[in-house]
Amino acid sequence: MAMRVGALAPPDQRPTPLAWLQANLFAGPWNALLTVLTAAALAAAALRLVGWMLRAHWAVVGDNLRFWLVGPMPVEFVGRAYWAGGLIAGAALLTVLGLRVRVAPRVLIGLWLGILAGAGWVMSPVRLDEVGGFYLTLLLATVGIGASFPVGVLVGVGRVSRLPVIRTASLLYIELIRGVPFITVLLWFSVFVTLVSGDALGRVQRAMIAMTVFTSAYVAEIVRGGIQSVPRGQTEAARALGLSGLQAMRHIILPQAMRNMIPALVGQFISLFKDTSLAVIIGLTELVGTGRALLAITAYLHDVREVYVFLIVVYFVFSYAMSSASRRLERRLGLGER
Amino acid sequence: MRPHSPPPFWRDERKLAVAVQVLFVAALAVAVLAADAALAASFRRQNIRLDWGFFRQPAGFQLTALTWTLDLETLSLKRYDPGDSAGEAMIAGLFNTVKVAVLGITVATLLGVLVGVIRLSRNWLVNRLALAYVELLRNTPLLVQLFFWYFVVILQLPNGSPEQPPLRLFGDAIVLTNSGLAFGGTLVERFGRLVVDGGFQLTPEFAALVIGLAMYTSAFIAEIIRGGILAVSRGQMEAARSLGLSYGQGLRHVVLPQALRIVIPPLGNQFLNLTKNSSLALGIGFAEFLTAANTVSSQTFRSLEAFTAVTLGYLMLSLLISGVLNVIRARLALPGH
Repeated sequence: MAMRVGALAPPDQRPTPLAWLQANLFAGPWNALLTVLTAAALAAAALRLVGWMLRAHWAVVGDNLRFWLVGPMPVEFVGRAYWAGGLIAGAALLTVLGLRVRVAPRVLIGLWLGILAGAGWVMSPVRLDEVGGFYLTLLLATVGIGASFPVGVLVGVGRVSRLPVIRTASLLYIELIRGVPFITVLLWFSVFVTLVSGDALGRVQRAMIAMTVFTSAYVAEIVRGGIQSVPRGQTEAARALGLSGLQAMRHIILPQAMRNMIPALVGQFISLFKDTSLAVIIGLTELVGTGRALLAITAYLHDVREVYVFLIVVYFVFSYAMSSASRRLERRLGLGER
Repeated sequence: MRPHSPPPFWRDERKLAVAVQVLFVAALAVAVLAADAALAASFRRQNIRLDWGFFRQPAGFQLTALTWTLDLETLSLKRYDPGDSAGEAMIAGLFNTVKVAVLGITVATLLGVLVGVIRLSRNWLVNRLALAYVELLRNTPLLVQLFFWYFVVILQLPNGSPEQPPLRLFGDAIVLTNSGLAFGGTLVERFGRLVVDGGFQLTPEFAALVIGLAMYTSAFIAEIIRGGILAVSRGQMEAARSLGLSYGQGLRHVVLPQALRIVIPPLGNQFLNLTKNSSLALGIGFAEFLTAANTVSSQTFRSLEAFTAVTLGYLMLSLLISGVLNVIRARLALPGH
């Protein structure tokens, strides 16, 4: 005999603003003292910062926006660069909207390939050595991650291969690259490619090659982790159904592994975006190089603070936006919840 | 019934495996030979050849930070002198890398543990402040941070002239000028400027490098510490409290020893990263391993050799550090896990 019990609504757990303040800022006298002291220090710091920002010479940024964006590009091409940038910004906007209304990932990938091809076509008359600024930073990061993805997948699959020669070669490559700093890889390839290719490849291409070689090793480790996160039974089931090792990898394992790899890949892209700043050491005028070039102009000699604060803000805004977008994507995909 | 016949070779997985590996080795050999041939042709064109002998020739340069080196003949410590060989100049740089790494790791760990514990504070404002510290440092490039500390902070300090007197903290215990940071020296006047004599002095480059590296790495360490403490289940602290331990005692005797075990492996990776990242000193000109190698390369025009040597050097250093870390990990591992 079942008794009917009226369902109770869960108690309203949201605290009132006052209760929140009491719990989080003024829980006890010491806590309140801590809050007051921190708030006072923060306010003093904020006042000084605002005061400086009002007095600072922002002309080094404001009067050189084109230089910051596209670098020493010839004026007749700048319009093309803006068009390409507009296309990509549009694609990013569509992606955000698409994620909201849950468009199939295939459509988004198609959109991006189309947009990137379009942007590439718009920019085709511009020589790589003439681009700089934020444009070059984005270009380096995108080409770097784009080129290292296929290489990384190959090496990562090789890393878990049953064939000892291929496994050892992949292992050596990954460990060699991950054991050395990015800057030495950049310098070594810069010298090596110059020696091998002569003048055929410019500085930008050499940096791209070094970035691809470097990032591929890290992508390969991500791929390996993704593959190993797929339960063994999946391979065994695929093999039992008569698929070959490679077929099982391509059709069964990698598609599942890919989903688990997304957060780590986005993290790698953000790290690459920050690492493009090292290209300034081999003489590229990406964002940091642009700043240093501007600081060499007599009118801006003393604007060191403005330039570096601006650089920090730009890098922070973009990296932070990407990492919070990736966290949201992770939650959307329900990763780590199963 | 047909007699059982062996499958054709393209269906025999064992033979296929051998064939694939042979093909792979052949392709690799062709690539290496092609690169070697291209390199040789390029060397012929420029009338140079690979020459590793220059490491034994006198370096002929002095960088302020190069002090101690290893005598490659007798393997004993000696003072670096421009007459020493290029190899010895690079070893003097390597010593500086180790110096930066040890100091940087110490400061980064202290700072990281502090920020990590603050991140767990129940005070919302303090907690958010620590979060802002972590996010700001993690989301900007290390090179830009180093430039910031060097060009914006340290080089903008007063120069010690009467118009710009040096910044003194705690009496004269810490004196800050744009020629460096000094601890415990005495101020004397030289050429119309107040400079520090004696005490423990850091050059601007060294100070910027250590501050930048330590702060950047401390943000990552803070997150590791926070994760480690959170990973120790809440029941542990509750059990400790119910046994009569105070919060501090529970933290010290119950939670932290368990968190330490979780934290050590990722912490080791951060130490390794800091050591590798110290190569960014090239950007601000502190004479560590890579900067010394770069100077050798520009003095001798032996770039490929110098950069190959420096790459292998970093590889050795990384392998050494990860070897030590693996030993520590094995020591810490709980039996049966």
